[in-house]
Amino acid sequence: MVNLKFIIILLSFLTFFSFPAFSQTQQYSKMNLSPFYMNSMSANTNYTYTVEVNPQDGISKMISAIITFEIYISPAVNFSVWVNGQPCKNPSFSISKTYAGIGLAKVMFDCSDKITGKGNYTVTIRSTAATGAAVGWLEIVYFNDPKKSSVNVFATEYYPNSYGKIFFQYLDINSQPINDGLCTFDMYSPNNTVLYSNEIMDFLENGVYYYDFKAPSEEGVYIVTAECRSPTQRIQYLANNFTSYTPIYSQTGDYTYTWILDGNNHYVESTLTNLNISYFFTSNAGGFGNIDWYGGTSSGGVFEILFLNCSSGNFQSLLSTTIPANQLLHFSKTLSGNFSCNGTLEINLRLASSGGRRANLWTDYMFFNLYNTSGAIQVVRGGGEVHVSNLAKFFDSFEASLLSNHDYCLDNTTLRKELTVQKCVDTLCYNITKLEDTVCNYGCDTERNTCLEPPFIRWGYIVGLFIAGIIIFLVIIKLAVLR
Amino acid sequence: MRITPLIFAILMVLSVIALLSLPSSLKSEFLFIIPLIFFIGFLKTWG
Repeated sequence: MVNLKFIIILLSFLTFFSFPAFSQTQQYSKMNLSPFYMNSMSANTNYTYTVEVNPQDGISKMISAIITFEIYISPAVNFSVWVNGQPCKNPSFSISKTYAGIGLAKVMFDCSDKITGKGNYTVTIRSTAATGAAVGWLEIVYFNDPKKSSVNVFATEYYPNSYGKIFFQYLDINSQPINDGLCTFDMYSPNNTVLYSNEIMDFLENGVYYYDFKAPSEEGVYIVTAECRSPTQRIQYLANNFTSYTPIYSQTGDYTYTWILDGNNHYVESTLTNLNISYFFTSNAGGFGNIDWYGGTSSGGVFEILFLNCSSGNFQSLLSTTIPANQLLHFSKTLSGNFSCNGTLEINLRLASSGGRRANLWTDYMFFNLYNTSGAIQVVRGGGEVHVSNLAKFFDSFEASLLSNHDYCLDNTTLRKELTVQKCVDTLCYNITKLEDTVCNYGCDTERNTCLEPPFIRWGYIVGLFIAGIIIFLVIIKLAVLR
Repeated sequence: MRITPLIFAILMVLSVIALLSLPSSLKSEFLFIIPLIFFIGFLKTWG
C-alpha cells in the first residue's frame, strides 16, 4: 500500500499553490553612513564610510540613490566620492569661493548607477582641502518588492458530497503569520460558474484561515482564488435585544448573558418541541460579516442559524445541522458577500428537538463581526484548486479485497511481485495493482519464480540432502544388524 | 518376509521421485548418489 500513500501525498502536493501578488509601490528611505559623524577631514585624504542597503520590503528597482554630506568648510573645496571604489554619476562636487562663504556646505552625489539594490556599500570621500566636522547619509527612492508576502492556498482531493476544508496561510514579507487579516475566497465549478463568492474564512492560528465546505456532487477540478486584506477594521457587535417566536416555558438570564464567554448562559426553553428565537444587533456600517455562536442544548436535535440583513426581508440560512445534547458547541458562520446595513440585524436560532422533548437552547456567547476593509493597505491574492473525484473515496477507504498476489521472473535477473486488490464504492469498482521489481543478483528462477540463492547456499542444500541420505542408510543398516 | 530390503527399495523409489521433482536450480547429478546408496543397501540386505 506504499504506492497508494505516495499517490495521495503527491496529489495533495499537486494542489498546493502560492501566488505572491503585492503591487509594487514607490518608497523613500534615508540611511546614515557609518560612521555618521567625522570631526574633520584632511586635504587629499580618503575617508571611508559603509552603508547597508536592506529595506524590509525589498527593492525591485532603484530610482535614485543620493549620497549627501554636510560639512563645515572653508572654500574653495572640491569633493570626490567613490562607491565600492567606483565614481558616481557626478564624481566630484565643487564649492567655489565665488558662491559660498565659510560655513556649512552640503555636497551631494548621485550614485544611482552604483547603488542599485540591496547590499553593503563602501563610500569613500576625499576633499581637496581640510574641512571641519562632516556628517553623511544616503537617501534612496525605490520601488519595493513585497512579493515574499503570500497567501498559500491548500486544498486536496475530495469525493462528491464529502466534507472538506480549504485553508490559507497568510504570511507577511518575513514569512511571519498575519492573524488580523480578512481572508475571503471564491470557488468556481468545473464549468467555470461561481460556486462560492467572497466567502470569509474563519481564523484558526498562525495566520491560518480555513473554510469548511461540502464538496460538490459533480466530479472535476474546482478553481479557488483567495484574497487576504490587512489590516482591516473589525467591528464586533453584541446582541442588544431578544425575542422568541415560540411560547417560552422557562428562561434564565437575558441577551446580556451572551456578551461574554463565561459559563453564564441565556437559557430559553420552549413549551413546544421546537424553539424559534432571535437576537438583534444594531449595525451602522458595511463590509463582510461573520457570526459566532457558543452554546448548546440539553434536548439535542436539528439546529439552524439564520440571518436577516436589515436591507433584506429574507432570512439567509447559515447553518442547519444535528447537534448533540449537553455539549458546549461553537459555530462560526460567514455571511455570503459584502453587505451594507444601517439598522437592525437579526440572528435567528431554531431548534427542533429530538425525542419529543421541549426544545431548549442556551447561549453563552454570541457576536457579530463586521470587517470593514476600506482602510486596507495591502491585498494579497492566491489561488489553488480542489479536486472532486470518486477516486478520492477509494483512497479514503482501507477496505479492499485481494484479487491476486503472485511473483514471476520478468527476465533473467528481475523478479516482479504483483499484488492486485479491488476497491469498491457502491457499485463502482477499481482494481489497483502494485508492482515491485527486485533485481536478482544470482539470476531469477523461472520454475520457482523466485530469486536464485547464492551458489554456496544451493550447494549447502545439495550436500545436506546427501548427508541426510547417508544417515538414513546407516540408521537402517544399524537397525537391520541389531535384529 | 525381509523388511529391510523392502524399506531400501521404497526409499530408493521415493528418492528418485523426489530428485526428479526438484527444481533445476537445485538439481545436481551428485544427488543421484542417494538412490544409489539405497540401491546398495537393498542389494546388501537382500543377500
